[in-house]
Amino acid sequence: MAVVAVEQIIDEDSLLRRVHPSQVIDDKNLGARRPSSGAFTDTELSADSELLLVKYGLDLSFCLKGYAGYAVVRFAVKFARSNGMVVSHTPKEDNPAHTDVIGKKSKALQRQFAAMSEWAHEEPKKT
Amino acid sequence: MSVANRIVDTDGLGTASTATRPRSQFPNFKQAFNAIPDRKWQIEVQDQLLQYVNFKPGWDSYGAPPVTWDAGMFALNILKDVMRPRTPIPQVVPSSVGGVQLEWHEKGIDLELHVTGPYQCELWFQDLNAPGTGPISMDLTNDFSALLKPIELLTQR
Repeated sequence: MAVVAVEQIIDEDSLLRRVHPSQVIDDKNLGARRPSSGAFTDTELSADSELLLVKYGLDLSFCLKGYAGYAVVRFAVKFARSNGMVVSHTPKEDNPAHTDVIGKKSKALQRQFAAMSEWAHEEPKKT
Repeated sequence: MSVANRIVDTDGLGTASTATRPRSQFPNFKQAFNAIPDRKWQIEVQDQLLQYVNFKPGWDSYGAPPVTWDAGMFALNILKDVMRPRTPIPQVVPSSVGGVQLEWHEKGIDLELHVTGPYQCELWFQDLNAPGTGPISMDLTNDFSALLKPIELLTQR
């Protein structure tokens, strides 16, 4: 697949990011499993634009293809930008929806990403 | 029941009686109970660290490096210094930048220590049971005394 043209990511879009099983934690204070803040440390944080996935006839299954056992979280572009992040469409040959959330993320912001994310795909806990 | 068969702990907090245990075998049970180090945490943490340093590059599907040996060993050494016998075992999480994060989220405590290398750590601590007190977020290099209070709270609650 050729690299598609760069598009504007609108505020109303949401982003999907895979989370490795080792980065899913038990938060007993919340009584729930959630992503660790450690999953949001990258200065260039990769994710997929949901609107662009739809545009190119793709969906959540595309994000998970080849990544059995991974979870996927969803967070709003508006949230990222309101915290000073630059959200840019950075398409790749094998991923027309690839997007980067660019900016240094303090521990507080990493925790906010973890708290604001919702499960788009949650893997059952292994016993 | 005869007095000879009753066992009283040194604090006098309770009694137990058994006809099979001589009183002299457990004179300082409570003291010994709290003094014996709980090494279960060390085994669990080491096992996870070993797993994470052997992750292949790109393990998170976005190009993350494995946890470095230096970060893993430094994190383990910090725990050896601060863990008490009854401190809950932390969750050990590889970060997306080659570090390791030690996390506790229980008993109304949120405590995270992200170790990216020797003397390169970031602490986050919030006591959810102390409304009005904000979180503590700070870099730690060679002074880890800021960990002591959160660990104490985790251990005592």
